[in-house]
Amino acid sequence: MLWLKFSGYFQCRLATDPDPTDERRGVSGYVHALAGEPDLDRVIRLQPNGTVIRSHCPEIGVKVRCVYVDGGRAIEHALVGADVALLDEPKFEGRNWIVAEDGVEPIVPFHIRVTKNRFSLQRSHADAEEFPFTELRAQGLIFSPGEIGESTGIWDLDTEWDKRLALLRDDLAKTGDETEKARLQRRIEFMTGMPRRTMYYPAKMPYNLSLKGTPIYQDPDHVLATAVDVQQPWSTECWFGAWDPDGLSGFMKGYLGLPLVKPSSEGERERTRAREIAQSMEHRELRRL
Amino acid sequence: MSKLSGVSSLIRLAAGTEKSRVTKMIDSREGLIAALTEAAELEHGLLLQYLFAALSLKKFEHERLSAAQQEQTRAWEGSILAIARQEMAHLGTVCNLLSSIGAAPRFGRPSFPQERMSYYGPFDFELKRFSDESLYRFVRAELPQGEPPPPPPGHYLPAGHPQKQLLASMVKPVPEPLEYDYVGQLYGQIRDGFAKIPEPNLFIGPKFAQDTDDWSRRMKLFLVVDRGTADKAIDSIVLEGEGAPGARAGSHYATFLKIRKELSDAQQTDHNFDPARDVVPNPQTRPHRDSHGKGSLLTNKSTVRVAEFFNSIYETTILMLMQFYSYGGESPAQRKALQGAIRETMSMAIRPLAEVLTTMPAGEGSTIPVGGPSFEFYYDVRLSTQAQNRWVILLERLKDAADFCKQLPSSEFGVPEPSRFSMTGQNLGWIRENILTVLKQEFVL
Repeated sequence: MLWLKFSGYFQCRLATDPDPTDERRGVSGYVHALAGEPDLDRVIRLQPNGTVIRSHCPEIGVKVRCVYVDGGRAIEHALVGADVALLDEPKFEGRNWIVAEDGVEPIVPFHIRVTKNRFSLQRSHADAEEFPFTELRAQGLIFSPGEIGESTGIWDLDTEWDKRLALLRDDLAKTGDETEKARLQRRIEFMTGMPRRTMYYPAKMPYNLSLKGTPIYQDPDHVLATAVDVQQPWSTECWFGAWDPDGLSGFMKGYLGLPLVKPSSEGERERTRAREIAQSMEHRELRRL
Repeated sequence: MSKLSGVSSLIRLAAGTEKSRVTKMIDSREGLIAALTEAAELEHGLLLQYLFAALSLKKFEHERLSAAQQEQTRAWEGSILAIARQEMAHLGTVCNLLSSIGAAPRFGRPSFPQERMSYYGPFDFELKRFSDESLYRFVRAELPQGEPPPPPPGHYLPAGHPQKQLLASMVKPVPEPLEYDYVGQLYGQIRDGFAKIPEPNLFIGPKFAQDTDDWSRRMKLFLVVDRGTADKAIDSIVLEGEGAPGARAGSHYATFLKIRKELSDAQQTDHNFDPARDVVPNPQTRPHRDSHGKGSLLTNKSTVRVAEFFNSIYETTILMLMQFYSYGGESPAQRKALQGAIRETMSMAIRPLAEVLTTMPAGEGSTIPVGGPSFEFYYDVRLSTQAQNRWVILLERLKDAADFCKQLPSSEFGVPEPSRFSMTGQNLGWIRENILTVLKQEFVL
C-alpha cells in the first residue's frame, strides 16, 4: 500500500449565505470580489493557477510532503513535492442549505490528481455524482485549534490579521491607485469589523472517501517500483480548515491511499522493497549533488 | 371619546410640531385583526419595494462604476437587503400576533403600484429603482413620529404630511378606518388595542400555531401568548424600524437617511454617477385591476416570459408561507422541510431571477430601459383546505418550475446568464426532492 501525505493552502472564492450561491460579486454575505478582482467562481483551487492572491496572504499550493510504502516512510521518495490538485472545478456544494448545512458541504466533484514531471495519477469518487451527494459530505465541522496551529504555524488568526492590517494600512498610505485604494479600504474595513470573521479559523471539515471513478495512472519513468492497482478503489482522507476570509484561503491536509499490485512471490516482494529503498537513496544522492 | 361600532375614536395631541389629529382606538378583536392585516400588507409591500430598489443597483465595472462606486453600491445593496430581511421577520411576527388572537396569517396585498391615499394612506407603494426619490419614500415610510420629515426629492413638490385613511376589514362589526402618518403610529394603535381588550378573551390562538424558529442568524421572531409578549413583539418591530428617540442608529430609518446622504455626496463628487440600472418603474406583465398608478407594461417577449416565471416562483413562495403559518397539522419534520424550502427559494431562486430581470430589456428593439421583478399576483392566491393537496400542488409547482428553468436557456427566447437559470432549475428540483424525501419518510405521499 502506498500512502501519499499532502498539505498546503487552497483558495475558494465563494459567495456566502444569504447571497445566492451564484452571486458573482458578493453583496450580503461576507465574501466579496473586490474592485479590480475577477468574479467569484466558487472553485476550490489547490494550485496557483486561477487564484487571486491578495497582498500579504498565503500563497496557494498543496504538495505531497511524505510518502509511506507498505507501512514504512520512504524518506525523500521521488513523489515528495508532487502537486496535488482537485480537477473539474470542484465546489463546496451547500447551496444555502439546499444540499447541506454550513460546515458539512460536499465537495462536488471530488477528483484528485497527483503529478510530478511525467508521473500522474488521478481518480474521482465516481464518474458521475448525484444529489444529495451523501458520500461526498464533510463528516462535521470540528474545532481543532491544535492541529490547525501546528499545520499552518499560525495559532491565532486575530494576531496574524493585526500584523496584516498594519501592512495594509502602510500600503494604503502609499498607494495612488484608486482601485487598489478601494480594495485596501474594503479589506481594512472588513478585518476591523465586528464580530471579526476569524472564528472559523480553528475549525476543519474532514472528508473520507473511497475513490471508484475511472482511474488514470501514468508512470513512464517508473517512479514507483510497484504499479498502483487501478482495479481496487483508492481512498483518501483529508480536511479543509484554517479558513481565512480575507485571503479567501484555507489549509488542507490529507492522505491518498493507493493499493499496489501485489507481488506474486516472497522473492518479488523482497526485490520490490529493495527497489523502493534504492530509489529513495538514489533520489537523496541526486539532491545532494 | 365616542363609541362607534365597537371602535372608539380618541382625540390626541401628537408630539412636537405635529398638528392635532384624530386617531382611532381599536377595542375589538375584529379591529385588531383588521389593523394587523394592514400591518402585514405594509410589511410585505415595504420589503418588496426595498428588494426591488436594492436589486436594481449596478455591480460590475462595465456598468460604468469606478472602484469606489462599485464598493459603495455593494454596501448600499447589502444594507437594504438586510433591512428587507428584517421586514420579512416583521411579517412573520405580525402573523404570530394574528395567530395569537385566533386569526389567519395574511400574505396577500394589492398589486403595485398604489399611489398615496389610494390604499396605504400616506405612502406611495411603488416598485422603483434605487434613487434619491426611492430613498425619500423609504425614509418617509420608516419615519419615527416626532422626527422632522425628510427633505423631498428635488423634482418633487414638498410633500407635506397628508392625512390618509385606510379601509380595514369588511367584517362586521365594521371597524373604523385606521388613520396614521407613520408605521410606528399604526403599531401604536395595535399596541393600544392589545392593551384595551380583556386579555383572557383575546388570546385564543394556541401557542403551537406560531413561528419562533430560527430562520437564520439574522431573523428573530417572537412568540405571542399574552399582552406582555404582544407588546414585546410590537416594540421589536418599531425599534428595528425607527430606533428609539435619541438612539436611531442602526434602525431602518437611520440607515436610509445615511444612504441618502451618501448618495447625495457621491453625486456631488461625480455628477454623472447613476448607481442603478435603468429599471422601469412598476414593471408589469399585464395590467391589474387593483393597481392604482402608472405601471410599465413589459413588452419584450423574453423578459415577459422570465417575469411571468419569476411571478410563479413568488406565488409558490407565498403558498409555502401560507402553509407554514397556517399550522394545518404538518409534522415537525414537514414544517422544517417547508421552512427550509421557503428560505432556500428566496435566496436561490427569487433573488437570482430578480437580478437577471434587471438586465433584460423592458421593450423590443432596445436594450434599455430594462425590466425588473414585478412581484405580480395573477389571482388571489389561496391555500388548499386539504393538507394532502397542499403538498401535491407544491410539488407540482416546483417540478414545473425546475423543468422550465432547464428548457429556458435552450429555448427560442434568448436569456442572459443561462447558467443562472440552469442553477435555479437545479435548486428548485433539489428543494422539491428534499420535501419529497420527508413526505415519503412520513408516508404522506
